[in-house]
Amino acid sequence: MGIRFTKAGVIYIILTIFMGFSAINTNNNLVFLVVSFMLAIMGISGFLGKANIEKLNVRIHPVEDPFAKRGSRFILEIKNGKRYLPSILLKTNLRDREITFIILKPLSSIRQETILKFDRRGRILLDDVMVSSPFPFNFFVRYKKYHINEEIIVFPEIGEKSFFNFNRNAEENTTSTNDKITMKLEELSNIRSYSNDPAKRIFWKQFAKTGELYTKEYTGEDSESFRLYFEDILKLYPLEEAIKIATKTVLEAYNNSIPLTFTISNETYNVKTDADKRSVLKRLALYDA
Amino acid sequence: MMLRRLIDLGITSLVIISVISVVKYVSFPYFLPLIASLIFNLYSRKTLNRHVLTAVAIFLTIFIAFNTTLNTLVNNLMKVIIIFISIKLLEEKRYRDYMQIITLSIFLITSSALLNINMIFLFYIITSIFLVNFLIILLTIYDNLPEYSLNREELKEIFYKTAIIPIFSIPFAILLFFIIPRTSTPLFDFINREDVAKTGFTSKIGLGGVSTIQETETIAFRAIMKEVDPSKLYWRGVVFDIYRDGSWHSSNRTNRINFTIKGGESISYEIYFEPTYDKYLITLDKPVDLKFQGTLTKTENLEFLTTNVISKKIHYNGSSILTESFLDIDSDITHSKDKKGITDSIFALAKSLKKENDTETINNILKYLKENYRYSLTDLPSGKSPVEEFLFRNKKGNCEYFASAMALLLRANDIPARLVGGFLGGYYNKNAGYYAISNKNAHVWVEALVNNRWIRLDPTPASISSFTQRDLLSLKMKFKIYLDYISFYWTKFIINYDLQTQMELAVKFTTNFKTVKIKPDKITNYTLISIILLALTSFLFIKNKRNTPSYFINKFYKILSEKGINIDPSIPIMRNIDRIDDEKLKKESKKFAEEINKMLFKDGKLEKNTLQTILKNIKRL
Repeated sequence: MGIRFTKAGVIYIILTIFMGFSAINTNNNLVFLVVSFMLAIMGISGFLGKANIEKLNVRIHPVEDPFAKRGSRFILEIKNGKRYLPSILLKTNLRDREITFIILKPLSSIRQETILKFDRRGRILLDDVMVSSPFPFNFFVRYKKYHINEEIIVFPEIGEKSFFNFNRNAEENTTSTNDKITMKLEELSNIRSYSNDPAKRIFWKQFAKTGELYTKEYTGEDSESFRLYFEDILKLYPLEEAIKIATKTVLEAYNNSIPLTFTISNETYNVKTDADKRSVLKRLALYDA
Repeated sequence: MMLRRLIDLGITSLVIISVISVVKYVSFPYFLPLIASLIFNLYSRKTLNRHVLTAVAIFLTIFIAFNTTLNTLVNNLMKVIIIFISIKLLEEKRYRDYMQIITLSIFLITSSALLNINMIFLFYIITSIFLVNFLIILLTIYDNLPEYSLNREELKEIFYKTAIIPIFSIPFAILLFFIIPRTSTPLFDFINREDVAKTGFTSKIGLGGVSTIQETETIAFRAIMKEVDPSKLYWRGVVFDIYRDGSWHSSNRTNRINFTIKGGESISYEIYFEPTYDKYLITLDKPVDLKFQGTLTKTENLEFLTTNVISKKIHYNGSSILTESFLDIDSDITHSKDKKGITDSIFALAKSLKKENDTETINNILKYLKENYRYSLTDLPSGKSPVEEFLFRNKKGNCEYFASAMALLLRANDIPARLVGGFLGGYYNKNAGYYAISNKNAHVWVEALVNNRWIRLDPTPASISSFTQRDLLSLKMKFKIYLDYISFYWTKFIINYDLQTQMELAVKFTTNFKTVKIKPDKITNYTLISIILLALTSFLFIKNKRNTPSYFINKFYKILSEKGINIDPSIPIMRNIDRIDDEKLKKESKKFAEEINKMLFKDGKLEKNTLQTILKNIKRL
C-alpha cells in the first residue's frame, strides 16, 4: 500500500496551513472551526481512500489463446469484498495496460476486457496487479499491489512460413488464427531424412543449402494424413524459427480441417480437434523453455 | 446525467450559499456580474478569453485595493473574491478551475466569520462541506473520465456512501477545534469587528433612548448563576449623574473609591456578554468583585468599564451582594445634587411633595409617581423638556421618565440622586442554570444618597413580572428564549473558547484523569443511562441475531465473497457452493451446508461452535 500526493493535495495542505495561520492570528474561533473541518476532512478522506482499494479480489482470465508477440484478449475481474463501501474510480495496471473501473458496489464484481501482449512463448506468471485510485478528492493517489499469481501458457509466435502453400493475400495472413480461410492446397505433407527414396522426391533446394539429403513426402493414396516431424524441421531451421513454422503449420491444418499428424520428441499428436491443436501448441510453447 | 452538468449545478449552489453568507457586507452592484456569470455558466456553452478576464480581475482588484482602509479590509476582500468567482465562471473550466471556484467560495464563507459570529455560520459551513464533498468527488471522476455519464443508481451510491466523509468529519472537527492550540496574542485582532451601530446603554442617553433599546428583541447577555428572587435581579450598567437638556450623562470619575457593600446575600455568577460596541460591563447590583481577561476600570459610581469597546462576545466572572443600598462615605455629590435643568414647575411640585425628613420625602415622591402616572411604552413624552411634559401633561411614560422625574424631584428637595441604567429580571433556564436577559429587560432606576448610603429606588409602576415572565413576551421572543439554549452553548463553547479555557480544560482533564473524580450532573447522568441502555439493547439484539441460521449463512457468504466467489443469496446454498472451483474450499463449504441443513430440517438445534469452527477453517483456506 502506498500513497502519492497530487498537486491539488499539496495545495490543499498549503491552504489548510494558511487558514491555520489566519485562525491563530485573528483568534477567530469560527476560522478555527473551518480549519478543524479542513483537517477532519483530510483525515476522513484519507481513511476512505485507503478503504476504497482494500478488500478487493482481482482475477484475470484469457478470452482467447495467447500467442507470443501479438495482443490477446483477457478479462480482468475485480470483486469488492467490502460489505458497505463501494470502490470508486479504481485503476488497474497489469503489464502496463491500464483499465479504469468507475464504481464497484459492495460485494459485487465487475469485468472488463484488456489486451495483453507477451514477448516470448512458454509459461508466464501474471503475478501482481497494481490497483490505484485518486478517490475521493484527487488530493492523493493510493495504490496497492494485489497478487493474482495466474500462470498462463503463451503459445509460440505464429510464423510467416508454413509447410502448406496457400493462395491468399498477405492481409488475410495477419488476422486471427481462428479464421478459416478457403485455400488451395499443394500435396506436400512432410519432409524427412533421405532413405533410398526416388531422386524426384529429394529436396534439392535444401541439399543445395545444407549439403544434406531430405525427402519430400506427398499426400496420395498411400497416406491418409499429413505427417510432420518437428525434429526434421529443426534440422532445417533454428529452434525459434522452427517452432514458429510448426505453429503456423499446425494452425493452418486445423483451420482448414486438414488431418495432420505431428510428432515432437517422440510424442505424436493427431490434430483434429481444438483440444488436439492446443495440446500441440502447448507442447511447442514449452519446448526447451 | 453528464458529469459536467452536475458539477455546474453544484458549483452554482455553492456560490449562492457563499454569497448569501456575505450579502449584508457587500454592496449590491458587486452581485450583479456574479448573477450574470452564474446564468452564463449554466446556460451557455461558450467561454470568454482567459487573458482578458484575468486582466479585468487584476484591474478591479487594484482599484479596490486603493480604496481599502483597515476598517474596510474584510469587506473589500469579499468584493475581490466575488469578482474572481464571477470571472472564473466565465472562463473555460477544467478540474483546476472548478477547484479554484470552490476554494474562493470557502474563502468567502470564512471571511463572513471575521465580521459575524452568529450561529448561522455553522449552517453555511456544514452545508457547503456536504456540497463541496460531493462536488470534488464528481470532479475527481470528471478529471479522469470527462465524457463519462453517471446513471441515477451510480449517483445515489456515490452520494449516500461518500456522505460519510462530512458526517464523520463533524465530531472529528469538534474534537480538533478544542485541541488546536490558541494564542493569547493574535496579530490581526482588529479584523474581527463589524462596523455596526452601538446597542445597549452608552455614556449618554436621551429620554426615550431606553425604549429604543427595549425595541430590539435580542439577547443582551446571559448569566450563569443560581436562581434568585426576581425582585432582586437588578443588573447594573451605566450610572447617569449629569442631567443636561433632556439627556443624561455619565461622569465616569475614578478618583475616589470608598465603598462598603455588605448585608445581603452574596452571589457569584459568570456573564456571557454580547458585543455592545461600548465599554460598560453589566454586573448584578451591587457588585463587589469582577474578574475579566483584560484591563478594567471601576468608577466612583460603581460602574465597570473596559479599556477597549466590546466588539465581540466576551465573558467574565463576578460576585455581588444582593442589597438595596451601600455605604459610600465622602461621596462626591457635585453632579448628583446639581439642580441644572430643573424647571420652576418641577421645583414647585418638589416642594409640595417635601416631608419632614429625606426618607419620608422619598416615600412620598415614590407614592405620588406610582399613583398618578401610567406606565406606557408608546406615545412617549417628547419636546424640549420631556420630564416636564411627562409630569404635567402626558402623564405616561416608561421607566426612564419615571426615574428622571424622581431624580429631579429628589434633587429639587436637596437629596442627591442619580439614574442607573441596566436591566431588570431575566428568564431563567433551569436545565442549563442561567438567566437570559434580553434587551426588552432594559431598565432605569434611581439611586438616592441618604445618610451616606446610596439607596435603590424604583418608581416605575410596571410589575416585575413583565421583566421575568415568559408568558408576557411576544411569540417571536418566546421562541427566541426557548432556542436560546442552543445559542448560549454556541457562545459558551465555540465563540468564547480561548487559550485560558483551553488551559483550564486541559488541567481539568488531567486532574480528573488522575483522581478519577467525576461529578456528573443531571444531563450527564441521563446521557450515560441512555448510552448504557442503547449498548445493552444492541448487545441483546446482536446476541439474538447470532442464534439464527441466517446470521451464519450471511457470514459464510461474506467469507466466500472475500475469496472472490460470485455469490447469489437468492439461490440455494448448494448451488452457490457449486460455483467454487477450489476443491478444498468446496469440501469445507459442503460441510457447512450439511450442518446448516441438519439444523434447518432435522433437529432444529443450532450447533454454534461447530458452525464457527467450520467458518474459521473456510476463512483460513
